[in-house]
Amino acid sequence: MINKNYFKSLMQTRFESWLKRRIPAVKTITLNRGNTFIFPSRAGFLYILTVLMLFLLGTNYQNNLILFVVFFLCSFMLTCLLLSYQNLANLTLTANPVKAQFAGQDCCCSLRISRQRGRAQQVHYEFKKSSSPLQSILTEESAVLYALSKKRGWFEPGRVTVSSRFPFGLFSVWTHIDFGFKCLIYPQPLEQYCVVQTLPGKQTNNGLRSFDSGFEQFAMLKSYQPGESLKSVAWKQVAQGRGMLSKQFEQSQGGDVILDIDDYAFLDLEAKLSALCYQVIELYKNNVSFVLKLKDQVITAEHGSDGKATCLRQLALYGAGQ
Amino acid sequence: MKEFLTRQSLVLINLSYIAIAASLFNNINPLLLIFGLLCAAWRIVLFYGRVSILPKLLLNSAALLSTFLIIVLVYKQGLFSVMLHLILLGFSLKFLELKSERDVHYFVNTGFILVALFFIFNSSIVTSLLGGGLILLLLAVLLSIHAPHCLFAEQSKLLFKSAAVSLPLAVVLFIVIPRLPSLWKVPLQKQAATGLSDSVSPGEIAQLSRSSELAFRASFTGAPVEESERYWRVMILDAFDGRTWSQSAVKKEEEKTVLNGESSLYGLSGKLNSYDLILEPHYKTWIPALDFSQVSFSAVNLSDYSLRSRQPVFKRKDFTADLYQSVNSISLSAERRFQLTKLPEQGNEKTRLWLAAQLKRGLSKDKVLKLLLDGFSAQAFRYTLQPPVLGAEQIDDFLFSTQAGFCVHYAGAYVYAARSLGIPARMVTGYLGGEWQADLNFLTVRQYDAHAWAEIWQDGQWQRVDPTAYVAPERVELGLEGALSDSSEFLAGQYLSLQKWRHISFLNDLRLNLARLDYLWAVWVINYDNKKQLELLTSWFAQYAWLNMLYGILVMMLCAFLFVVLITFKPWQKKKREVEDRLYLQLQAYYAKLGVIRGKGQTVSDYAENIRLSINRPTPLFEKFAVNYNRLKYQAGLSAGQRTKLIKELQALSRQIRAGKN
Repeated sequence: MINKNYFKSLMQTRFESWLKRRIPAVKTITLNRGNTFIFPSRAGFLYILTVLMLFLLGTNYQNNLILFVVFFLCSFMLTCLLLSYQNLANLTLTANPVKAQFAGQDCCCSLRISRQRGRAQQVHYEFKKSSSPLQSILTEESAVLYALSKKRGWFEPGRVTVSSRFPFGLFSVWTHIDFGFKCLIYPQPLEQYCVVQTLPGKQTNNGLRSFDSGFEQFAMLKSYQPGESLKSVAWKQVAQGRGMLSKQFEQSQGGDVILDIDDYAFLDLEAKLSALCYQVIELYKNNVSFVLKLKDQVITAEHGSDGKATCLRQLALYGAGQ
Repeated sequence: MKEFLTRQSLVLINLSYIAIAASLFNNINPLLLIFGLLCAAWRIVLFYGRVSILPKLLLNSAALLSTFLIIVLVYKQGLFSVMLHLILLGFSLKFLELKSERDVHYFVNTGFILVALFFIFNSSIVTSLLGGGLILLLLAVLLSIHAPHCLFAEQSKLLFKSAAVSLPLAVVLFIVIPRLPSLWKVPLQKQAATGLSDSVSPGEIAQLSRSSELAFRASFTGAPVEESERYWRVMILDAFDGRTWSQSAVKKEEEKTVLNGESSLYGLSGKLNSYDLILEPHYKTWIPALDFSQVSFSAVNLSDYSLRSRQPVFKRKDFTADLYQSVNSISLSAERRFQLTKLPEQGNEKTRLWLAAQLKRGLSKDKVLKLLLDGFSAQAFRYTLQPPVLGAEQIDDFLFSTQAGFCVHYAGAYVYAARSLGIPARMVTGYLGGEWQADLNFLTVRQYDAHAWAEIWQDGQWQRVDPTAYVAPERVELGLEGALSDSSEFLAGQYLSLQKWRHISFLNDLRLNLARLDYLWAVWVINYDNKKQLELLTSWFAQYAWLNMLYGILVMMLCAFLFVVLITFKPWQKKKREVEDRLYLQLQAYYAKLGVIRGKGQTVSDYAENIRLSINRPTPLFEKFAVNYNRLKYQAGLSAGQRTKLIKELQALSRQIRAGKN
């Protein structure tokens, strides 16, 4: 059993490296003889078997009509070979950039499909190593493929398999294209580990200016403690089924929120990052300024989605040695 | 269950199912057909969601039960029939469980086999086209499954286009691929024989005369035989039981020996002509023969000059026979003479008395028979296919009261009379005449040309006497239609037959053209064999110089191609790699697995550096390897001893590195 698996994985790696040389990573590709494979499908082999049986029948009964059927079916199979190839040939596929996604959610990898003449029929697009239960979505000019990763960091969904059995199902034409899809996966936001850090009363040098003034500033969410005022309960979150949380407000303007990874010492690294991720999202949602401290890295949150993306990116790649 | 079939493919599947079942209608048990139709109906109802899919257990037990039933039902019809029924049953059952694309593929492939079986039974041009249509229908099913989004028009265009593109190659293959002989003996369909049978009572030939079905066709190499000589001998009937003419035990025995291929030897002399026969399948062994014929192989001669095929004719088959002028006389043994003069002891007293009276008048036996024949032409005898019913005393009734009948009646009466007089006589059944198609030089003989005549033993040989010719000479000269005074008797009840309407010139032209086409079809397609292939190809090469050129060019190009391939790849001098190169390649493969691939043109030292950077730790072993490799390759003036030492070192290093010690 072990031997078999070993052999299988060996074959796999051999095949992968061969594929790498044969069809290297590209952003855009036009399918042609050099990069597509064609082989009789299962049904094609059944067809060949039938033709063989008919040949025996025709020969044994010395029946020319049956033999003619045999020759016709052989010739037809050859025609199918050409038609199947023609269906995919000259199809140009271009990969669009992939947006970052949270762990455990499906990344959309989209391809632009174009062709000079006609359109390819019944083409299936999917990742060679499927990771998402979602089916690809296909329109005339684009295909959207889903990939899913539970791990944060850079995620490579791998090669895309483009295949078709048009028109008679006797041949499958396929290719494995490496579009070099690279998707940034943020940690999965998890709210159950909200830890409150006692906030320093005064604005510090490395702190932020508050985003708007004159109001009590929302600071962060923390687990509800019995005895706290019901007014401070974050009802929205309760309604979302996230449990009882209470909103913490800054008493004074200009008070900084510091998200420090070291405050989550009781959690393992991934959980820490997940908790931070959730906090970052919530803080941005509420327009609160904050400072993210990841050991020796200190990120000062900036306005807008760019700032949020920077924070999340840091969380995603934390410890990746980049 | 999610319905994966589209409405269109379901319609196509049902259509092809029903068409295939209908095309095999004649050869299958009607019960199976009903079962199949039920299956089809059920599948349609399933499509509309009115019923749910059958449980597997029920389906399997239904399959087993119906298989058993079918085998019991058709067991007697022979192995071939069982095979056909089982395939059709599988075809029907597949219908019930069309759950995936794969099932549809099984369905279609079974369909192909059934169409092939259809071709075993049917080979005329019309049925061939029909079979082609069935194949297209099955392919359309595949297309509808694999191209569900195409419009119907697109699909049909694609289907016809691909079929049309495939056709030329198929034709070329058909023409040039040599035919193999039968690989093993195959079971045949036990089919009700058509045409003449081995016994005749007056009703039978009349039955045949109502059929315009083709019996056989003949073409002559020389001039066609005259109308009055077109007596196609099929069978000798030499026993009479008062009602029916049949074969005697001796004759039956001789027929059996045919299966062993034993031929009767008699000298034939004076070759006149030769002719080709294309026989429609009749599931028996007889071959119609003119007097006197011989087929060189695949057929044998019987002592009565008729021909038998070694194997039953179960498809259109052609035979080439030589026609001779005369046959050496043979003697008749006392035993045979006894058989050939044997009559029932009792009955037909009037006839016997009449014959005795004539003999008493002093007439010779020959004269008496002549008198009888003259009586046929002079008296009130008439030729009709619908004679009045005869009583128990058949010959008496015919000769003295009804005086109406057709060939069997006249021949029967004549043979009876001859035997009564002690002259050996026998009835011959076969075909008379045929329709001559002058432009294509062939003769079409149909079932209504079936005929019976008599032979009597005179002067040491058999003489043909056709009593019908005396009562209706037109039967011999013009064929059946000419002989009938009431033309409504001709092909009575066969209104759809084009034969019936041959007096309408447009229809007659159509009929003749169809016949011509079908003849060519039979000659060139159905009976295209290695011999014809050779003839055809030789004649083409002789006729068209460019074909020779083309062939020559093709051969030359092939040779040139082979030459270029050989020169390029030089398989005879496969370069042996040096040991160090082999080791280096092994190491490259090893590092490639770790992700470091040697770039094109990269030196071994660069590669070593590359590896060190990639795996991020020092690689002393490989560096040493690189140094040694370079020394071995480029250091001038190494002695042989040093070389061996270096190579040994390299081998050791390579082993260590690949064991992961680097």
